[in-house]
Amino acid sequence: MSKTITLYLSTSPYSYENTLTSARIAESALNKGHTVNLIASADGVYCFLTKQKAKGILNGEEEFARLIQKGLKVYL
Amino acid sequence: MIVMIKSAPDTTDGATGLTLAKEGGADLVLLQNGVYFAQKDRLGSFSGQVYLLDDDKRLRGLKDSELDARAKTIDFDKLTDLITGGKKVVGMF
Amino acid sequence: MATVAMILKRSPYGDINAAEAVRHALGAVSFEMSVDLILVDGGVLLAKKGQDDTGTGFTNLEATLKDCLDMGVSVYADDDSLKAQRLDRGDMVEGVKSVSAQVIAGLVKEARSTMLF
Repeated sequence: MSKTITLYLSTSPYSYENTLTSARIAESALNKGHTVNLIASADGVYCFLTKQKAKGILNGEEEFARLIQKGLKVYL
Repeated sequence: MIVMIKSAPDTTDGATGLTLAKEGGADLVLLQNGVYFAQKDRLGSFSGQVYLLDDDKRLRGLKDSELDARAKTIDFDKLTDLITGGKKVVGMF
Repeated sequence: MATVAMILKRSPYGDINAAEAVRHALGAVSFEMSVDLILVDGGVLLAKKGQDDTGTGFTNLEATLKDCLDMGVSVYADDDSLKAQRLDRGDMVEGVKSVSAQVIAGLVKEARSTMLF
């Protein structure tokens, strides 16, 4: 049965592991047909800036852009 | 109830999460630095199920031989199933 | 005498501090500065063998720590922290020296400058 998961992300994209954890949970839930909301608050909004150049770590912009295409709903 | 802990055992957040899980008769999901709680003798009198995330376990070089016998390694798909399984989810500490 | 003593207090991967410490240590040593990388508290877990980054998107910090050692960074781990974090000598990356708090205090005192991570 499809459910709704709402994730709350409040940390900046590269200072903590939370960006990766959120993206992986979102992707898994989307693949299983669930509805996934992500609320970005405080420094979490920086995960959605464009022109990020991160390498050697998950690029927040690229990853979330990909997940939005898969159906992730993001609220800032 | 499921309590999710992402903070290390030597943090107040981690300790608070474990206490809540103990007192609330909850199961534990350990991820990020919380996976160190799955090492032997770190869970004290906690008596519920213990799950830890495979990616975060491997990243930190934790071997199965150093883990509590109850600890069950899971991937993100199983984590999603636990989150959507109907139990109350609290965290992440 | 170390030009820079870098002290890592945080365990790897949960936040960016361990990655920053090894990155700056490599940067400093490549500019021919003398670097002591001192692991305390959860920071000693950076020296744990067997870190596997497969499929995670992270840079493997065990490999980066080995690069530091190969480049000439002196890496020290605090004895008491190793005990608290349950890290045996056999579980540690080779070349990391296990030392007392007294030795660490001496290293910090002797260094020209100190960076905390």
